[in-house]
Amino acid sequence: MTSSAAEAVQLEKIRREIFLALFIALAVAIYTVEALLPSPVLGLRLGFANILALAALFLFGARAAWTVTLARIFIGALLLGNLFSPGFLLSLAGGTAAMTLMSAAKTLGGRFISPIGVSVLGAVGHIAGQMLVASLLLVRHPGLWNLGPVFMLVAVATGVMNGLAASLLIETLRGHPVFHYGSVANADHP
Amino acid sequence: MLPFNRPTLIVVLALVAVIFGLRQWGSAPPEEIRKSRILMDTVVEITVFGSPSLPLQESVDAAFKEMERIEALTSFFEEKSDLSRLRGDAGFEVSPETAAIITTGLEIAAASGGAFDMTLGRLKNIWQIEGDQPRLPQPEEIQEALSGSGFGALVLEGRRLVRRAPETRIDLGGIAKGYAIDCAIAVLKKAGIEHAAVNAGGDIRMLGDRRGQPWRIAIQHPRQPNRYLGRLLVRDVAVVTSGDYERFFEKDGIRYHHLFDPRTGYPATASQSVTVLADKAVLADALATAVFVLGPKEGIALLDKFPGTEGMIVGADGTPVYTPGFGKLIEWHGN
Amino acid sequence: MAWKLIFSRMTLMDGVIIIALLAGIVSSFIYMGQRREGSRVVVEREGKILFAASLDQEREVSFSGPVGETVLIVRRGAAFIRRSDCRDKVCVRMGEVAKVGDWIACVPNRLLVRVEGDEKGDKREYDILSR
Repeated sequence: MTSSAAEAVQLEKIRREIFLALFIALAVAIYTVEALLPSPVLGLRLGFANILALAALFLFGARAAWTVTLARIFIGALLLGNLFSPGFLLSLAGGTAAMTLMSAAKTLGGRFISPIGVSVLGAVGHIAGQMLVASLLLVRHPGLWNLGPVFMLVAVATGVMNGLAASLLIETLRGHPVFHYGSVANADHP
Repeated sequence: MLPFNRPTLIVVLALVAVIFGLRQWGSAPPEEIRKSRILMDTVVEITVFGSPSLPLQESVDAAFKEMERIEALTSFFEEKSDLSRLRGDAGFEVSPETAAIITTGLEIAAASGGAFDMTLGRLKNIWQIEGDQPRLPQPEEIQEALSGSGFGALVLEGRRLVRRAPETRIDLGGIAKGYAIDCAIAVLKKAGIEHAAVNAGGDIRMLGDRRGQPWRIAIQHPRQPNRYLGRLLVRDVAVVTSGDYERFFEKDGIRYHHLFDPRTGYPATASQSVTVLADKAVLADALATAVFVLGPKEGIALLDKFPGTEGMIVGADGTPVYTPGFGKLIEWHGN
Repeated sequence: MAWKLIFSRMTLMDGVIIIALLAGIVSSFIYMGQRREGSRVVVEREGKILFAASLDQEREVSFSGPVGETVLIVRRGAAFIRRSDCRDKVCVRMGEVAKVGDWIACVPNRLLVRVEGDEKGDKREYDILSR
């Protein structure tokens, strides 16, 4: 079966849009469920939603990943009804810091870095962004930083876990027929 | 051969076990319970020692309850307290507890020539020193607030409390806390407890001694927060300290504190701090306030009128003056 | 097996990143472990000190606040919140504090419990301070 180059580009675009929509929907669902579950330690979450941002980053590039993360935070806030509340600001700060680190790592590391490394950096960045905003706006006590290392340790662990999940997801998707049908390229989209 | 072959080891271990076991069993120590709660605008701490067979926990809780009850009766702000009801009526039947406080208060007011005054409600209200936003009122305001106060403004006829002037506002700040401490001690005593201390923000009454040792009561240095002047070795007594450092604000280099001179309507300036020992906290509390206002010389003379009381006055210049009995109880703090 | 799965998917750079982060975390733990044991527990509400006491003496302190009662226990050189009438019980789950700078916050009841070191060899030579 042959298809023209124009058709292939068109197909690629549609596929990308459908997958991004799916990623956002999944990310929002995971994020909302996680937010509703009681957290074992204050503010610590597993951050499974980041798996989708990682997949978007590796499959479609940095802009797509930013879209997934920001959309997830805003839509999630609308669903949870905490838009512009302290919890929302923490999420936004964490998400922005995580995405900055993750997109920088992917750009700089290229093919030398896997989803696991990017995910760990994202998790650590998430905690760092949250703590920065928390110390500026919410807690205003130097003792907050004492909790930093514990949070970071958890972040590295969840980062590895989510990175592994993302790595498996990306591999599955790349191997899936949908990604080959009329495909131009299957990696880093400009 | 090692010294620790098996039988030796067993003997040593058994010995260790026996020693530890004996220590556990031999000196089943009397239990010590210490609980704190915020009451009467300060931290109230009750410490009791006693055999675990006594209802220690329950008694301490009951003592706190009792203090809460007294606070509710005497607080100016509580809606249902005796005092807020008095705001409207000219004469009013008060609870036996309020009557007892006022009887002691009037006695000390008389003995001190009005230096202790329970009718400063309006004056305290305009200064707001114990509130969040203290202020320096105008002299005319102070004069105005003093009307309806003073010796004779309040009369107790049986349990009927009568004000001479309708504007009189009662404030039991300098005495109700002492009375509440006494009530807490009474509750503990009734429960069979023999060793206890009730400490309401530095106003203390002790029941018995501290398991055979005297209680060691340090007296706050009035100008250096981290130091104390000396310590008293005492038992079965109330110790109350009143100082200008407890609640105050400063304006233009002048310290305005919560102990008012009823004659002027301004904070009293004769003393930095006063410590009074008496058998009851209510007496020690009221006397400490009166002596603070009177200053070193007249203050000692007032204490002499009450047998069994002792005290120390740190004058405005920082020099301590004390009764002979107080001198025998205190160990001065070095340096 | 799980480890094998992770390692097989990691690149060298991933390993370097993770090891660097872990090294940073471990060294900050070591640094924090060197902080001194505290000697006093201080309870604040909106910047005002409500209560202060030595960590050496066993005691139970209750504070009432906007949402009810919070009970602080001081025992064997450490302090913890036994119970609190707040909804999330974050303060209860924060566990014990004992080192200088450690703290527990009970946000709904507006309480901050923190541990302080002593200024200088402050041996307790008295039972109660009259002030």
